[in-house]
Amino acid sequence: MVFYFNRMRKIILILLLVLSVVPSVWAQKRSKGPGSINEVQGQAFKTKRNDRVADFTNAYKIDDEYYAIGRKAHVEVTSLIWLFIGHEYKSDFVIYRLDTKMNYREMTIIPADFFGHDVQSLSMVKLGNRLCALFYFNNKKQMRQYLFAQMIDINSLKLEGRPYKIAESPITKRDKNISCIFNVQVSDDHSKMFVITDRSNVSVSRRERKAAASQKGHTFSYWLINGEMDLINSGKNVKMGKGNTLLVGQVSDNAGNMCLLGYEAATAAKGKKSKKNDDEQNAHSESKLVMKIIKPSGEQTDMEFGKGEKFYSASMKLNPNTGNVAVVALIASGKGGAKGIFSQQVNLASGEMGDESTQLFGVDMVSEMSKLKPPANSKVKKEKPAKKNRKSKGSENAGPADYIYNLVRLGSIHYTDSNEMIITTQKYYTYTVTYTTYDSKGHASTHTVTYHVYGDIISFKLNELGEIENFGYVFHRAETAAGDIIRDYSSLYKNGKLYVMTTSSGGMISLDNKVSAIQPFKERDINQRKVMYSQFIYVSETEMLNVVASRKKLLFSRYSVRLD
Amino acid sequence: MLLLPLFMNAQTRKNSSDEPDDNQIEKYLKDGRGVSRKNLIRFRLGSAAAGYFGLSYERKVVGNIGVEAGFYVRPFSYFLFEEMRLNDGITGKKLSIDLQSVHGGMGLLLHPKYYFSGKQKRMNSGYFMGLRGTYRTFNADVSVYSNQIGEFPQKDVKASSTAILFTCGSHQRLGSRMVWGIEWGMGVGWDAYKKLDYGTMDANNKPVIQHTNGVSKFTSGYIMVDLLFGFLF
Repeated sequence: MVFYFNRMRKIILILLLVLSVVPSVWAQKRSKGPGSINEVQGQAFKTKRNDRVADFTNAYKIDDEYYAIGRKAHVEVTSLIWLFIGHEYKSDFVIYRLDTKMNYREMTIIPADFFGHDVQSLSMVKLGNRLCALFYFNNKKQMRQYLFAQMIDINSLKLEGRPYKIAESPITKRDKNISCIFNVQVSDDHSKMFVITDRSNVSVSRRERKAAASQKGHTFSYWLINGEMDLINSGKNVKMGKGNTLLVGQVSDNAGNMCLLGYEAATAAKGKKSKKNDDEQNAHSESKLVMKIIKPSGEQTDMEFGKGEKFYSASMKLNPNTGNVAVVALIASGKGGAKGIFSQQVNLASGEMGDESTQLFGVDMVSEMSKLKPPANSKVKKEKPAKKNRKSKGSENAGPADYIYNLVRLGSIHYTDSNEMIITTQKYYTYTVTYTTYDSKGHASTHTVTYHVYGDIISFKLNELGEIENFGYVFHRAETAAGDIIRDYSSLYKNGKLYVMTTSSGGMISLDNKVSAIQPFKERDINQRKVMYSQFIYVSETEMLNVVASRKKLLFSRYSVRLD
Repeated sequence: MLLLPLFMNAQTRKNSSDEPDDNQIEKYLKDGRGVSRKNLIRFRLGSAAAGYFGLSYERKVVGNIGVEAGFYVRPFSYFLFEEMRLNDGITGKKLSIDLQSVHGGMGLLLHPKYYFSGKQKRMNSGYFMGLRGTYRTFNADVSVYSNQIGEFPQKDVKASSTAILFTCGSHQRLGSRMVWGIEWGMGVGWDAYKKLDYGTMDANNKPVIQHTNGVSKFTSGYIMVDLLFGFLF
């Protein structure tokens, strides 16, 4: 009897132990732990065919409601006997008002029509305590492109006053249908709007690029406007860099200091090879980053850095805490991948430059990354390493790689609370497939399709000196034949946590030189086969909206960082 | 070709002309294209070449669905050409008909269409597909062929023609108020001729004239290309 009781006691103790563990395990599976992404998915709702949105440009959170702003598009067809050519024009703005659960509440249309004339919508920004709808119009008689702004009351979404013409730029006869030349950026406190006009904003032909490269200087025009639609300052034909300079970014701070970043490509020396020394030869041909700071008074400061370096991509971001603009670029290795990160900090108010930082990845870091493997349950396979150049096969050992193959795209720059930087980068490459088809007579016809592949996402943490402290790695692969979408992920950062989201999955990225796994999002309550596009819309550093559009429905979801 | 003037006219201070301006918006929008219009009156060159003169009115009634309705008269006799028939009236068990000339009569047009491009409710431009129905009356000089005796001419036969064509086409702006466009169509038509006489053989193998008091019907295929000009208002 005693023996039986002891045995039962043991069984009961074991049962109690098990029961005490299971609920906590069960609870962890059901709830999202600290540091994960909050995901709120709304109900898919039907849209009328005539109100369908071609793309979404902005989103705002006002009180407890969210406003997603999109643009309709319409096609105009030109017919030439048997040939019909369609041209798409962006038209009316559509504003969807959503509640905190991402359910549809109301839709408002802001027509792209001024006094019976069709104009094209650009974007809608928050300026002051109002919304500002931006439109552009190509006047084919005056040969000018105009930028218009229509102010809108933020609560009632009703138009306020007449539209303003705020900027203009000449266009040529060939530019009658050109897209918007203007770039608009609003300061963090929404008090000022910085408009620039630069032809590098629109695609240009090879001939035009050559003509631009032969020009001595690159020029642009700018306007700085406040929330009351008063002009603070403007400049026309302002020079920045040589003719082939490509505008990379623009930013303005709350005080109205404006900053532009450009990349000036190397130019070949003309004529016979001179007998100049190496330094003069290099000075003539080196590439560099050029920056121009313009104060609200019009005072300009020019600076250049990164001389002689070639970059795959560059970006800049303003740190509102320090007033510094950080320029970050991926240094090209010339072998199909970045070999390091360049960074430079400039104080926007004083124009004071920090030290340049050129951080090479080095063999050790590249080797460490190459040994990483995808998580066990991941569907993504590790990309094959780059093929060795046959020509160099017979040459001396090239040694281990010091560059990351296919790493060519720079993503976002985030600031930590201690003013260090977290940057996201992505591998990207293209491949072409040629298809041959035969008709009934045996005649062959071929067509070539270019596939764009968006690969692994690598995040780097840079300290204040621009030195790489550590990295985070996410295995990822997505490809599309529909053209280059630049990048297929978005990132959020807050309280020391970085989150990366693709259209189907997301998660926290740990910057500990290891692989991070991202988890699939909730299954979208929309017919996947009929999805036309899925897009992330930036709301703030800690929140993003995602919209999935099918032919007849829209579905909004909200992703936000858990703030513990 | 491309760029703004270099270094010349560089402006580093604001100019009063750069101030945001809400007074002269209409000036910036004037480029000869005119405002958007909802109504369109059309003149069909193809119909005119076939002798039918008239106008049609079109408007988008619901969303991207438009309806065109027209009325035509035929003041002259056989003009340039008749609408092309794929098989010239060959049907029926006994008769075939050859249209020699056409005169008089009138025509009605009803053409609902769906616009794939262009702004809603605006008639400025668009690419469409539609179903065009026409009803025409006319007097015709014909030659009737029977399977027994050859050609038998007849004059002033009263006739009507009904056709339904599947169409596609587009129109685009020409200046501020005018549009021009092109339309393609393919379909089927039914011609009806009243009181046709035709020749036949009697029991003794002698040729006799057979009178019909009713209507002789013929079915034809149609193809059509039309050039259109319109006025927006």
